[in-house]
Parts: sequence; structure tokens; C-alpha cells
Amino acid sequence: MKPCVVEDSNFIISVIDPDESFHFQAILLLNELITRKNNIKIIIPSIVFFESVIKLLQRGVSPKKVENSLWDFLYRSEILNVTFPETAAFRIGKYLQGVNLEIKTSDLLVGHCGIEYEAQILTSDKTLWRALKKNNYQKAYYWHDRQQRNDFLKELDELIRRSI
Amino acid sequence: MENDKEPKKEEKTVRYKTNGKEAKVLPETKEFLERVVIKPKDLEKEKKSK
Repeated sequence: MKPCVVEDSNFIISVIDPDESFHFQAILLLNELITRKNNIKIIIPSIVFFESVIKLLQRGVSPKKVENSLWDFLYRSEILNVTFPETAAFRIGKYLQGVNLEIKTSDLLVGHCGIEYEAQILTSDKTLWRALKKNNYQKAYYWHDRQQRNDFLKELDELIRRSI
Repeated sequence: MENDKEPKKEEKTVRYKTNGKEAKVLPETKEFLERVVIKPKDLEKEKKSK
């Protein structure tokens, strides 16, 4: 199985919206992922697509542009769009034990998706990142932090090396 | 951010400019970004605050 990476909506929006604070960092990270595209799978939970579409529309981006941009993400060969069965809600309930209850449902779903795929999780949500670390899930990366981005890429290369 | 990892030397890269900064990226990345990144003409109305 190829190493998997889960992206959150902030990452996608940061790539698409040049006014985002972390736009430049997002495009550099995207480039690193494209460089490795034949050896990885990028997982985008459907909730992330919903969030991305809604946030971009709320910012005044035309529906046509939002659709075209998101389709471009969906069509990439390394992208896997996944949805959740209802039973996932019960499994997610397990993660709530000892976890900061301020985590948004959408972030919990992103975390859940990453755990299910044993994926590296790129998140911009520090609460989720801390909760995953607290639950001994080490493959979570707060991608706004430079050191975390570098650690993420180093670990990704190691996972690729082991998978080949 | 200047210390972020950039593509390995043997990869052919091109320049991509955004917000006054320049990144060295793969041609494929540049092509993708040129398609997906929002341009002023893509805004229906004045951008709302985030």
C-alpha cells in the first residue's frame, strides 16, 4: 500500500486562495506532494470538499471557479476522495475520551479518516493535532509550522522508501 | 519559509510567482496552480473577511 496523506480544507483553500496567510507555504508543500505523486495517495475526505466549497463561496469566489478548481483537485491521479459510513460515528466516539471537546466535527472526521488509512495527517487545527498526539497518533502534522512541514516530508520519504 | 524543502536539483523546475514571492516548482505544479488559484476576475463580489 502506498503511503497516504490526508489534507484538511485549510490546506486546499490555502492553495487556491492567494490571500490566505499560508498560500506560499501551501504551494511549496503541494509541489513536494506532486513530486512524489507516483508513490503516494492523497486522501481528501468528502467533508473537506464540502468545507472548501462553502468557504470559497462565502468569500465571494464565483461558483464556476470554485467548481473548476475543486474538480481539478478531484481529477488528479494521486487523489482519493473518501466518504464515511454511518458506523464511523461510533468509532469516532472512542476518540472523544480524554479529548478536548472543542474540536469541530469536521476536524474529528479528518482525524478519523487519517487513522483509518494509517495516513499522515496535515492539519491546520492545533486542537486536533494535540488530540491526535495525546492519543499516541504520531503521524499528525500541524502544517503551518515549518519544522512540522520538514518533519512531515522526512517521514513521508521514509514511508515511501519502506513501501517500495 | 525560505528553508522549506524545494524540489531535488535533478528535477526540472520553473518559476512560479505569487504575492511578490517566487517559488521553484515542477512545470506540472505551475500548470495546476495556474488553473486552480483564484484571480481577481473569479470574484463575484468584494471578498468577504475570512
